[in-house]
Amino acid sequence: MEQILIQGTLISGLYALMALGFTLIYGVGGVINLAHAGYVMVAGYMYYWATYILGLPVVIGFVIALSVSVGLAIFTYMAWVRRFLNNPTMVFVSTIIMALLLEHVMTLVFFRENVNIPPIVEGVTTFRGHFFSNNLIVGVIISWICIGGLLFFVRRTHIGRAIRALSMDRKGVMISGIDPGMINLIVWALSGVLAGVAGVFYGSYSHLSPNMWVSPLIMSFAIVIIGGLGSIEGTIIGAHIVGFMEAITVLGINERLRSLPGLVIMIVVLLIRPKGLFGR
Amino acid sequence: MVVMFTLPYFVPIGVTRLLVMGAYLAIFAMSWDMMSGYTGYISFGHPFLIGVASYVTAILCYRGAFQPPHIILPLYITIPLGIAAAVGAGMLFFLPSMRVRGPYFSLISLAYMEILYRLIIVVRSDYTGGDRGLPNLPSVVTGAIPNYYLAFGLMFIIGMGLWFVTRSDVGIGLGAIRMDEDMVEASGIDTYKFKLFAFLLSAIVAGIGGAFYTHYLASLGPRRLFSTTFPFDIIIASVIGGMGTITGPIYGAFFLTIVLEYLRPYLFGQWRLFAYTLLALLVLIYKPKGLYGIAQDIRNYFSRIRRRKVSE
Repeated sequence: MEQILIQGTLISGLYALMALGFTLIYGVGGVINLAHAGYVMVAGYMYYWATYILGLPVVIGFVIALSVSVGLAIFTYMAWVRRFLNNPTMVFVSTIIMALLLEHVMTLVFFRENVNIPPIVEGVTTFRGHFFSNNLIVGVIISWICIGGLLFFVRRTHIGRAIRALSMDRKGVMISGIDPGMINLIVWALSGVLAGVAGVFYGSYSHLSPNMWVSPLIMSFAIVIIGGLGSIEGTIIGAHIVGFMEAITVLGINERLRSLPGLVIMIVVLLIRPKGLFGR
Repeated sequence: MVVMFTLPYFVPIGVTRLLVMGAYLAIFAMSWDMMSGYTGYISFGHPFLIGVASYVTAILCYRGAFQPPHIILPLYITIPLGIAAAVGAGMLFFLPSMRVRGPYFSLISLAYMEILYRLIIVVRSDYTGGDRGLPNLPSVVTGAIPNYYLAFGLMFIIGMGLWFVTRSDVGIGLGAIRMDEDMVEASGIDTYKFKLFAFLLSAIVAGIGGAFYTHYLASLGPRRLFSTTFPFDIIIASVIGGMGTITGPIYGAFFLTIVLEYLRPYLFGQWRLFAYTLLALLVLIYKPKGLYGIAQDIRNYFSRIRRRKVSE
């Protein structure tokens, strides 16, 4: 029981981090960036490369992972997505091809085998006779700090207000003297940060492989759909629904059915309420 | 045409096999193009349709139907049954499209594929072969050259059929749905029927391709069938060839198979994948109509030259 709770909380936190990136970009630009999951994968690898192969300290590894994923996000936006903002299908297909491209690049550099990242924080904590690695616990805390920080940023700061305004009315934003292109760029960079943090922790939670982006992509999409595309609160709640279902399935039923309950919930939600639980 | 018919007698057998693979990829790409390139409902889970057809025909002819007596059915019954199952699966594909559009649909289709994969390897793995799949399936025809004619015949018939459909009013309707579905509905046309038609056609083609491809390979492996590279190979072939053109995906599929094969000596494994993915991305960004568009440009260029000469 405790195990399901802790495991569920951790997976939910990571999923929320990943899914928030989609939600932000969709809410503001009206397009979906499938390469997002690719950034998650690349960030994991960058962290591994910096800390394990080069032997740099953990903090520098983090900085490298984050800057690479932010760089990729900005590159994707500036290189072509900017020009296709009014053609979502195009962005959709091109970003999934971008994710495939990242997979191939990572395979070329790091080969196809699975890689285990050494835990970021050593040691285990005992709680009521169950062992939990400190790594998991730090992961939960950091992902919640990021989620809280994001909520604060979007709700309380000036730029956050502009982001929310842009997701409501593009013309109104332009009239108020805000440059939508700039806000879009900031949002893409922000989603890159979230992808970077998620990548490091997701990698240390399971393992790294060049095609690891697929299942987080499907799951975070399921989450976003359950919660409602474009809604931050919905995404966080959706992440918890899916995360706990997954923890229950893995620990209680059969590990190989891992992703099934989330997908089934997604299809049911889509058929009953296509806007999602908190969709506009 | 003549080149196509006599080709297997001139080229080595390896090239014939390569062309067969290309023809099947072309069939899948056309099926994808019918559903996604035309209507704008991008499917990421096309192997779901292909997989349903493959598994139905493979299980029926390998393990047999009706569990206790295990009647092994002949291929001319199992293949149509597989195609029929794919059509049923196509209905399942169609179902969410009544409610959801755009990216939602794509992800549902990907989810279908993932669910089918999980179910196949976990549920009744004694029947489906689980992770290892089914080996030693009977084949329709043996030898490289008969298979070449089979694959090309199928590709040709399907290509002609789809080409005529898309050049008719139905094709125009489907293209209009891609551009603006609400507008089509507002002008009093039932988009429902059009979509259903496109989806069922796509499912039939995917079923034919899947069933024959499985019997051509004579084995069935879930890892290969439901790996993420397979749907994206189909998509990339269509994108390079030109989405929404039917003939484009055929060019794209052959271009992809042949270029990939001939790059083998120069670029190692992963580099080839990298190269063609990059190519697909560039084509999509700079030339959304793909090879088909390039061919059209060349034709226009020459006709312009001819016209200029005539006017002089």
